[in-house]
Amino acid sequence: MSSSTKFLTLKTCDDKKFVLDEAIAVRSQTIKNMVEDDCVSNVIPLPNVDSKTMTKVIEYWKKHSEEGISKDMLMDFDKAFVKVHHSILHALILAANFLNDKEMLDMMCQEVVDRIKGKTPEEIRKEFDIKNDFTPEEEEEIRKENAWAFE
Amino acid sequence: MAESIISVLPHEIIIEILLKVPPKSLLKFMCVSKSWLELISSTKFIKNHLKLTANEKEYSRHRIIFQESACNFKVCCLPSILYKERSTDLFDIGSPMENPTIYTWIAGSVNELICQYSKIEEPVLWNPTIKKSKKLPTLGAKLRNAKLRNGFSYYLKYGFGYDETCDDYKVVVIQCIYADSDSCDTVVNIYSLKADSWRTINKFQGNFLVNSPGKFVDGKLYWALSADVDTFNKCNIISLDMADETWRRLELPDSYGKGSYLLALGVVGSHLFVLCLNCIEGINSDVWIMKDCGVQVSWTKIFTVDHPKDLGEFIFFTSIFSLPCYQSNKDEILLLLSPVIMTYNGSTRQVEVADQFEECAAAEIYVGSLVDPLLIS
Repeated sequence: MSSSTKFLTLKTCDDKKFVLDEAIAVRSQTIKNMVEDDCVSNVIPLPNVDSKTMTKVIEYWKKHSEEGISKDMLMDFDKAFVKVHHSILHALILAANFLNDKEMLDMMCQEVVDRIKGKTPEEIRKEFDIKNDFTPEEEEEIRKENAWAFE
Repeated sequence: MAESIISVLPHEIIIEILLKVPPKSLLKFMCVSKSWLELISSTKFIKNHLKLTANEKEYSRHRIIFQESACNFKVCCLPSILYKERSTDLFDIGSPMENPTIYTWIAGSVNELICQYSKIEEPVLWNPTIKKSKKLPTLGAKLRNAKLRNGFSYYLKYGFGYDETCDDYKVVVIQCIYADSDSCDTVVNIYSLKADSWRTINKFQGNFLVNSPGKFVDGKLYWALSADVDTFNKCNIISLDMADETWRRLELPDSYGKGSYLLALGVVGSHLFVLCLNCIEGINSDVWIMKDCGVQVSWTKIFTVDHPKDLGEFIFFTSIFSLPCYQSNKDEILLLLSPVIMTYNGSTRQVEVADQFEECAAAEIYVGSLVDPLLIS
């Protein structure tokens, strides 16, 4: 490691600290902007991210910053990376959104798309914690309109 | 260990996710909740969804529609032909016509909507992906009644385009009236989806017969014309601007000579493609791309294609279609020259037969979307 390597300390909402190479941390546009604007003191607080999620994010960033890693290896890594419980997936999306890492956000969103596209409205409500605010008659009416899609 | 955050995704991320969901799933998701229904039905969402789908690099939502015998239509996914992952399966999608036993043709497609017409019914705008269609009001009274006069007859040529300035879909019907002698006349009617009505507009100057379906490229509809009523030869190309409804006649490529052989029009990306038959026997054609820069048009010959057997005389019924080339290494052009589908590879300059369908003819390419022709106003 060269002597010019700079390290940043990130502090998650549950008060855990992560020391990370700046070159890796700036995959986050949010952190990059802070570094460029010189508003970095010793510790960068990440009030919207918990340590469990941040550990995963850093795992992703480090893998994607590895030198000489092949495209296929990254694809295998990504595939395995997104195979998590949906609550973790959602937490990772929120983190990627807050940290503004578009590449990671797109990948996580695509995983949600792949998971939900075959699902029924009931399953979707459960997955996203959405309350059904239709009356049974209203819902029936909308279903009838596109009945073939439910076949 | 801290508890994971209770993760309710913010609205903008829900939108981001839903924009990538295929149309059929979205139709189901409309009954998740009132706010999802409102979101998925909104014009803005439908437009953004279409934009994303149309620009998708793998063309996974692009479909080729085939006409089988008289009345039935089938589709296949574009990637299955392009990338030949497996043998191509065609799926029945029926027809939006009330009486599909009578011959029905496709006038064209603009991204997601297909315009169909038949001899006995009014044209229909159809989105096969969501199984919604709209029958156009009757055109009958606008047509000049030419059949009654001795020795006169007429035929209709269609075109389907989009006026971006008014966000309006338009169907153009050209009535070509001809006598036994060389004289012919035209009446041009245009339908606006927003106004839901027909109007008669100015015709183009000259004594011509229209001999191709209109092709919509970058705001204009193009037709091939012939000045020779008997042979359909002596071709020209005219365009109709969808926004200001003005006509223009195009200069043809110089080497096309006296313009005495057949032309077929197609669309590749945002350019007009023209297939020029090389000689009267028609064993091969030159394929040209036209770049229209306002006043000047420029032509570039890109390749010559050998026809499948007996193609020559049917060339009017063929179309060249296209793929927007987003990846330079997949610089391919798809040609639907029934009964074969060919690809031209821009980097290797090779023309190859990609697939062959004896029973049905590939007619158009469209993109799966949520655009409902009944809800545009």
